[in-house]
Amino acid sequence: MCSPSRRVVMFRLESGWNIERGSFTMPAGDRPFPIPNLAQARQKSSMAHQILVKFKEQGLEENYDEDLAKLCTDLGDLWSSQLVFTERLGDFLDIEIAQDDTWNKFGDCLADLCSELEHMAWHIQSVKDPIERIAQRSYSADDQNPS
Amino acid sequence: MSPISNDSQEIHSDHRDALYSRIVQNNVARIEEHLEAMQRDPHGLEFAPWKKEVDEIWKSSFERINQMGEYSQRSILESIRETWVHYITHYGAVDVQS
Repeated sequence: MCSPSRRVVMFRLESGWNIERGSFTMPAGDRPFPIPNLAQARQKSSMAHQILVKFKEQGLEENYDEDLAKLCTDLGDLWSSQLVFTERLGDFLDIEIAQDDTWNKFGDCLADLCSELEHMAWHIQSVKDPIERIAQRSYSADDQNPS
Repeated sequence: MSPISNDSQEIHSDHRDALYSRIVQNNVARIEEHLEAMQRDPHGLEFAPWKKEVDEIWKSSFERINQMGEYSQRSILESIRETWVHYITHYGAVDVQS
């Protein structure tokens, strides 16, 4: 029987996600300073662009460009953040208890989770207006062209 | 250690500094990831929102650093100096709404 954190990782792999693991995501027993995961950043960028292209191919007007720019970057970042958050939680569950540095590792993991939550909160706030405006525009187009 | 009084418990300033330091380090790693994402297409629609977010992350990071002790400030400022100088050199002034 595998640990909860292992199950999280297995679930993600079964789902087809394959994040390149930087040293930031090393097992919690050997945690260096956070370093950027550039492969993850490129995946996030690609996801944001796919969202943008989808709307452009559907013919979303240019006057929605500002909303669309925010929408695709916010959703891309949230998609990426939830993957990272899952990984950080797995790191926390992997920490061995009752070791000399267990509390320090707890502190690092909680700081990492806190940081990720702040990032997600920023995007959740940022996406609210653009997603509502583009959703309303989507419904209005459907009214004009009932299938 | 100088304790800082909180509603229900005392928080030692160096413990707070450890937390803020880690969060700032995470922020700087995130900034580098965003800069990588922005490289995909500097003329694309996605560039401006990510630039704005990076500016906001810098602002919040420096606000945290301002609340840290003097020794911790020196240490964290030194650790982020290279990324900050690179950013200011290549992306210009930080633009944040007050």
